[in-house]
Amino acid sequence: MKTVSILLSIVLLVGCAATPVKREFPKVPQELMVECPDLKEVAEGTTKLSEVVTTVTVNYGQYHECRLISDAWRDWYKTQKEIFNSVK
Amino acid sequence: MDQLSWMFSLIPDAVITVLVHLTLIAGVVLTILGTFAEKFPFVGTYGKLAKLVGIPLLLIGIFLEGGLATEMRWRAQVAELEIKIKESEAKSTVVNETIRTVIKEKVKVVKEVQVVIQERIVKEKEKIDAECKVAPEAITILNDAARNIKGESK
Repeated sequence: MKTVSILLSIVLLVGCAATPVKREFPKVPQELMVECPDLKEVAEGTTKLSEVVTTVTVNYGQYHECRLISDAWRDWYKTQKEIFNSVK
Repeated sequence: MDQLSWMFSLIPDAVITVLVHLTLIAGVVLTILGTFAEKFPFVGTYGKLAKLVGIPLLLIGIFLEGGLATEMRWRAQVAELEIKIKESEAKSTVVNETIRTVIKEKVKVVKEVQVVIQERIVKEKEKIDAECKVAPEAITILNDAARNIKGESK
């Protein structure tokens, strides 16, 4: 009887229900992990408008690149979430 | 039941099926034989013994058959889920590749536009600088605005 009790206790205590299927959310592409660089500054002391315009347009370009990445992040997350949630 | 299912999951399908079926069959055979043997005088004692072993075996066998059916259904569901996961992983990889390609192409276009813009500035430099002199205060304001990049207040 003692042995049976011990064995039964072992049976009841050992089996922690574990989910046999593991899932991971997909990894983000490296291209999306790029940080936006700091904005360029105009050289102090300059009086030329062309230099100001050059710097400002470079910053505009930088903004467009960062916007692309930001938009891509949203697209990536939305699509991957849909795929992830489709598995039930 | 979770514990039993978990323990069952460690044993291969074929082994567990054979063991459960054998238990049930042995239970049925021993119970029937025991019942008949009981009626004969010389083997009556053995019949009782066979019944004594057979009935618990039969009950355990029935219980395990139920557990086996549940376990097999559970394993089938797991297998189905694993297939779905693999498919979703493949889809995710395709999406990642597509996004990667699209970003590269779009960034390339932005950079090309930038080159064109810079060339236009160089071309129009004389005109741009001809009638306008920028005050140092304007440069300071622009640079302050450029530095305020992470929501830090000045």
